[in-house]
Amino acid sequence: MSKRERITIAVLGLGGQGGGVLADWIVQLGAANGYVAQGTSVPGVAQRTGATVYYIEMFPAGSTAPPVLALMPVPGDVDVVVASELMEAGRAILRGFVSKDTLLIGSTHRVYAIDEKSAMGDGRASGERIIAAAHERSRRFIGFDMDATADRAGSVISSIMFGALAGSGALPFSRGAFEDAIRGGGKAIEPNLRGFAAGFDAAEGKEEPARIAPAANGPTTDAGRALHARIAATLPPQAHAFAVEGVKRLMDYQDAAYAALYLDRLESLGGNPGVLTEAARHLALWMSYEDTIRVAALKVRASRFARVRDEVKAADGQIVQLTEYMHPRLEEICETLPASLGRRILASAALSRRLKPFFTKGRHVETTSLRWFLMLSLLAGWRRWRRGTLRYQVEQARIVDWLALVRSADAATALELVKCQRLIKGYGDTFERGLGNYARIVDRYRAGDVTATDIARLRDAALADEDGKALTLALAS
Amino acid sequence: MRGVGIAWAKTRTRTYDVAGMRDAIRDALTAPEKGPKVLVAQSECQLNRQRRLKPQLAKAMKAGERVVRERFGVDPDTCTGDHSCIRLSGCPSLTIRANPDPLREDPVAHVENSCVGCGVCGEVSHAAVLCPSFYKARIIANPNGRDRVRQRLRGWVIGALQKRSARKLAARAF
Repeated sequence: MSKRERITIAVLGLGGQGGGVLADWIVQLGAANGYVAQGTSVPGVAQRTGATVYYIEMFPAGSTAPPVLALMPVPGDVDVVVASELMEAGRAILRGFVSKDTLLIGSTHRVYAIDEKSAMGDGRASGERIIAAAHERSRRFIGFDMDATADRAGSVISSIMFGALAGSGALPFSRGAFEDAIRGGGKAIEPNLRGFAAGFDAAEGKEEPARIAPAANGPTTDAGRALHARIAATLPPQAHAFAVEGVKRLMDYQDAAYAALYLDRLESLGGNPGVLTEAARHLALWMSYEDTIRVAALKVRASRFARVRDEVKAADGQIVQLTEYMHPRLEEICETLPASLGRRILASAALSRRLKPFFTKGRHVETTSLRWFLMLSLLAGWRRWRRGTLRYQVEQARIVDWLALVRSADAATALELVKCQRLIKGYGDTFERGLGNYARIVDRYRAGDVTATDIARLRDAALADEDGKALTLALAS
Repeated sequence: MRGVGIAWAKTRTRTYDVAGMRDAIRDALTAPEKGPKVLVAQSECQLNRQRRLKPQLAKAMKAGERVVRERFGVDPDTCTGDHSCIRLSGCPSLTIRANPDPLREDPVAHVENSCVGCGVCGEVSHAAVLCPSFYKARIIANPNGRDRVRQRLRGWVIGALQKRSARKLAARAF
């Protein structure tokens, strides 16, 4: 049997991506155009919602004996592999489905595995090696971000893959025949055809419409210009980008004076460009700690309303109502109060006990209702008195401590100490855990005999698990 | 239930209310009654429900009827990238994406378009007192007269306040 007569196609997809629909389309396509076509699927359970291999084999109809078609793809004998995700493309290469005779069509976007998603820091694996392998191992690799294409076309990824398969020219059928298969499927025909066209164009290498360039980064106010000039004059060029972002953030967070305090603090850290660059990042993050005022301010912004509308794909004329899941505890309320008052409440067991019941239940805050919007706006306006709040005093004291530590260390150690700010993030218990881990590392450093590499190792350990077991072990060794 | 000798039986109609469900299970485990206890979780599987409703809703929407759709999301500017929510939820639609904040390195949580709107992610982080980044959006297509009047009133007040704060923000901006 000549291999050229037979066409073998493997589709690798995840649950919910419409791989079954795609396989059906391909089978219909073959059957309607003079082929005996057969589709099978082998479900598998990956760490996501299950990776499934669909296999389609077709053979020209009209031969004397009916052809015998395989039920599973055989390594080294697959003409076209279509993968709906980058790791699936990698899996296809690993399983041997992709050989030097294979056309590999794959999306370059990632659906992250649960290990990658649930890491406390950044657990994402690099996809570059897979893309390199895809080019190297296949006859031809057609790869683009099909998820983004589907999003732009307002369609689903299966239609993009079908379009890419058509656009690749690997099958002896016309574009019209492909589109007929979609129409024959009878499911969401309009969006599927739209997605098909987008996939077809992308596979042919047609340019995507140019994205709108991001707004310029320059200062717009007098205060901004003054601080910009100050950054240019006092900080090394490497640190400029982060320092500009930091100043921008802190002016938004509080005011120009607060941003000036940020630059004062940065300038006090000496002249090492590496340390200053990272310090510009982490100091800005610490100084813009997320208190209730900040959260309220971010939630009521018009820009945020617009972003949500865009994200949930609300059309013009549709109304979007927003509900937040907020859970201010007594601690957060007290932190927002004037320092002396907040401290007194937290210190008094009787008062805390009496007030606590009011703040044990989470609240569903409907930001788009007048009552809650006004409430959040008032809270956001509390910014003016932020410097008097308990949280402000506590955080500034922590920052001053941290900077003193950084100043007294050598450059390599200082850099690692600066990066430890990364541990402090989140709200409520998450925040306390991060702060606790940070404190343990800093205490260990203060106890002496700790090198820069040790700090980096401890930081990684702190991000290894929620219970701090790895950190305890690392601290003991 | 009582017929087969179950002394403790309760029905919960809102299974997706995580805190309520947790309390019900706690009640069941700590109740003084002897023998097995039954807790009926009555909510339909959201995936099933959406598969059933989606074609109907699409049809109703085309016919110009009022249709309410729910979706969940995460605000990237309040999310700090700890991923506690993902560790607790495990939903395939709850994933991560690159942090849009130029200063932050850790990816933020993100709800994909495959979200069927069960709301467990938000409820879980609510019950565990995690963070205020989750939101629920109710999207009303073909709003009726009442919706529109209310929206106009809200839009007028909220819009005016937002304009005012945007002006203030621009005045102290970089």
